[in-house]
Amino acid sequence: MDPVNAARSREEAAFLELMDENYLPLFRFAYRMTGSAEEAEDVVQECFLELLRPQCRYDPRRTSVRTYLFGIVRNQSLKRLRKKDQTAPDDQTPSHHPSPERGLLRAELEQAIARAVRELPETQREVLVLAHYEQMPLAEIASVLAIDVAAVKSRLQRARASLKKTLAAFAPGMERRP
Amino acid sequence: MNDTELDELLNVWSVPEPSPSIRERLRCAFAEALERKPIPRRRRLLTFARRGFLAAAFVAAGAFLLLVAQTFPRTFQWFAPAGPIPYTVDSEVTRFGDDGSSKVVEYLTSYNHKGVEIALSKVYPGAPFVTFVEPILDRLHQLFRPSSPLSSEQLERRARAQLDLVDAGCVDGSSIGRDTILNYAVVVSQQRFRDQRTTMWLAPDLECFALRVDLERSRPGGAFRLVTRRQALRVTRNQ
Repeated sequence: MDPVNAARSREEAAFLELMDENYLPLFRFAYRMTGSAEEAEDVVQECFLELLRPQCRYDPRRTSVRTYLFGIVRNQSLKRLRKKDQTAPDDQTPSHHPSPERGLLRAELEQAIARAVRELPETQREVLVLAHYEQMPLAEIASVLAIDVAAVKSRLQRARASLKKTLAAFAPGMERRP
Repeated sequence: MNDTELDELLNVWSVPEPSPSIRERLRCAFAEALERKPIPRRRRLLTFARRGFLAAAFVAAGAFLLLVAQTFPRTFQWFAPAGPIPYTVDSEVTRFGDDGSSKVVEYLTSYNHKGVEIALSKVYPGAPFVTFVEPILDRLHQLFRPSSPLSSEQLERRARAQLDLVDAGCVDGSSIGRDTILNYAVVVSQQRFRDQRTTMWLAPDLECFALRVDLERSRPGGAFRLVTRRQALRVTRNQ
């Protein structure tokens, strides 16, 4: 029995195993999409509970559970993003750094990158996050987003080109523009 | 910036650790989800049938109320005259706030008969449900309790006083002046009761119908503040 069916058959251990295997990457993806740790946790919780609902359309013959879960997280994150105000909170970026000055610089850089990624169009952002941060193969990204691989490649290229422009000031050897 | 430099930059953006309680929260959510047992098919059908029955009952009740409201227009008005309605007045009621704001809270069409105002229709702007339900409840109330809340003696006394007022050209001890509203001559009458002052503009040609009513309340300094104003917008003669 696959873990999803086991979880649906009220096997708590199977459910927890499924969760342990997947929740970290799902949380990271949700966090990078929503910009909020709290919302990311809610999204991940909702995603796992979705599997237990009778109307859940997961079919192990058609897709892997990981792909299916990423698809749910993506949809939930986009739904929340559209609901909330466009001004994404930047104060969510953690700053655990050794010295205050270095920490500040690092935090500032993190915020700038986070902002640059969040300012990408949704279609490019999700591809970039899955490809770069989750190291997901292009074919799997195509499956999660229900688009073809060529579209994934094109969106990824556009996202990277756009980020290169936005973050040019932070490139090594460049002097920071204000 | 080349691809490697971009990758290095992107890697700077870290993700905070999820809260340690997330696993426990999910475990609890799993247990809760399991507690909500799926409804057996037979019960589901019954639930569906019960819902359908309730919906049908609501529709039937709504249709009945609508039928009552449409079938008995004015038939049960306590004081409605047997003959045709001589005139109608369309008025609006405006409420004034402490901050100087004002809001029209009601539009009504009415006329006077033997000293009692008969309302033919009322509309409450911004409250379509109240507008819809009020006449239905009114008709139902009259249907099941068709007698007047006033005794016949009270009604007679009221009618006599109103007829006296009409005969006197709407002038009595409270009259303070004359004016014209919508081309109708009116007698201005003012009365005070505790902290309230009511000023009425009564039209002798319309059985002393009040074409305007101002309700004011006194302030601590002694000045009056307008609280509600009812103003006639149009008079329609039917004869």
